[in-house]
Amino acid sequence: MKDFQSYLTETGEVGFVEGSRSCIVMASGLPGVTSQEIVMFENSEIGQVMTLKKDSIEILLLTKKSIRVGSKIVRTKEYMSITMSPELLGKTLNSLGYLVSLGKAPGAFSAKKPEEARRIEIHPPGMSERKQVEKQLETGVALVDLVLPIGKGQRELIIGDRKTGKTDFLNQTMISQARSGVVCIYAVIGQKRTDTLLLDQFLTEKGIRGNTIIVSSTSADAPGLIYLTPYVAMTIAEYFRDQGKDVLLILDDLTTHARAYREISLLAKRLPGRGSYPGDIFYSHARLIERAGAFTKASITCLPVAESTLGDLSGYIQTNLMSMTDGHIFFDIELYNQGNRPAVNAFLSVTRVGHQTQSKLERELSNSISSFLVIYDRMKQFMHFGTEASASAQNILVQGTRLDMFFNQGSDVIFDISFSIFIIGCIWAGKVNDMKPFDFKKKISSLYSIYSTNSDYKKKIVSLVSVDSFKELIAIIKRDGDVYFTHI
Amino acid sequence: MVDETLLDIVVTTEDREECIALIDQLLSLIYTNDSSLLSFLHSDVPEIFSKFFLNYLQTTVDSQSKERILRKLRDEVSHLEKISITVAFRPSRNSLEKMVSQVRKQYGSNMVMEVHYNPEIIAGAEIVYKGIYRDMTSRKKLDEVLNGMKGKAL
Repeated sequence: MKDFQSYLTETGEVGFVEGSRSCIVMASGLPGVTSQEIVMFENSEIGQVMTLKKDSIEILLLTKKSIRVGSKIVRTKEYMSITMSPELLGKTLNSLGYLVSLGKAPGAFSAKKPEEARRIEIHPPGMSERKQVEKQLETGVALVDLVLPIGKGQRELIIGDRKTGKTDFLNQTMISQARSGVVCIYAVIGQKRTDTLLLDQFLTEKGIRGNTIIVSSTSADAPGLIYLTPYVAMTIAEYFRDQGKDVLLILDDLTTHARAYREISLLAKRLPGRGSYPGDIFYSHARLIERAGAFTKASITCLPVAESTLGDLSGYIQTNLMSMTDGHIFFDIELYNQGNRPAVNAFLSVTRVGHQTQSKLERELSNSISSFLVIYDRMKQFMHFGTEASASAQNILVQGTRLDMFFNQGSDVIFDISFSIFIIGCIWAGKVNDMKPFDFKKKISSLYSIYSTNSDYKKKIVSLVSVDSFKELIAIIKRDGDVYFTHI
Repeated sequence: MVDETLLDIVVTTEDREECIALIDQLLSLIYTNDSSLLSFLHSDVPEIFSKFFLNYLQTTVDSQSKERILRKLRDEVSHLEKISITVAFRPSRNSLEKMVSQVRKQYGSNMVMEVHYNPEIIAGAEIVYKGIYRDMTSRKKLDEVLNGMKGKAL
């Protein structure tokens, strides 16, 4: 950016600070200023024009520094934009596009080959640029990949109470996707600085830092910066999409974002609505999420995160987000406390377009598991009365226990879909009924270790699960399962 | 429309503030006896204001009319439009009056000037009116000339 005097000479317009309320500055002058334009104060701090009134303007401060009444303001005739380059990969940025690193003040990002500067507020692409969600996005979490599949270009809400394993699931998904070449962008919205550092460390340890970008704002940042974070992340995602790369975008989390916007709106004395949120809170989220999707060039899969309180899914922001996404995955605190990892409640989770990305076998398998989980759940409740179970009921319970154990894969394990289908086939074929729970867990672990390291074995499994129907798969496993499962 | 005699007195924003403060004091004294109001105008007020208000208030006798007149006057004075001018010298009262007459000829009679002193501009003036900024200083001209010469030399 240029200095104050240059902008003043260039634009020939000046304004004066008339008053301020925390992050909102009221000013006079600047007759030609436009909405969303960046303005500069005398002390070189910047703000964004929020509201235009007849004789005054309201400016959203993008700094924590206070601005003196009477200070001069100039127009910049510029809008919030970020310098784009492939060199952004592996970097941590703040909402102004400055590089953030431990123990250092944010510094301007300068790429060797800066390709373009992109405005962070644009209209979402229209229908002609979009296409149907066709490919599945592998999360590496068996329960999600099989029962609640997510498609590339889908907007799937991740919702749950604090500390229910949402971030673990997102990390697993990122590892799985980054390893397959998808660009992963993680927007850390208004969280602790240590959270960003831990995420950075985690991604580096997993060897996927080079394929990921973190856009972060901390709770100590100005509300304006917190508000802009997801828009910046989405703009970067759009850049990589236009390069023909599939992008996974995680917005963690939009309830914090809504709170920051509420703070700004209340300070700007806008009429509060439900829960004191402003009337355009839906619009501010919808216009963001609408920018994701499956496009002719590539896809942007968006996983916005929402925090619930005491498992209540009917909160204002939560239901808003549910209505603008293509489904949601609910992380249940009760399941988490029972030791399930991931603590996904399959009964309360929804995926609207994910199933269309599955093969015939996967769809059959998904239906079988879903209906089985309902029966298994009822059976468990029935057994609470101490009823003596029939052979078939006992069989369901054994099969259900094995299924639970497989789905309870932990937060540091990632399963390929082919492997997951194979294990489910083995459970359905009754290959594991006689195994003790501990042995079963050990077996899965050893099999996956072989699957990951032995390419011949992997090829065999992949070819085994390439059959057309679930019945056929079970028949093959019943017949030749020992070759793949027992005697390996 | 503000009284022309008052406009001759209120030239700068400082004059305007002083005038408003004075009207507020007069308003607080208006319902006391006439002698205290007159003694205040004779003793505590700058002469130019004192003359104006003595003439102005002579036309009415009852306190309510005086209050109405003063309130109207206060409102008119506080709505005078401001033009900000930065100059490289400390202008005398005479200079200010010359400047304001030019300003009022250009922009209308209900203008007051906010005058700033900044010797760094060398000569000329910086003007801000309704958010529009114009730099008509020698500093700017000199910068342009020097930058042009630098460009040619390089």
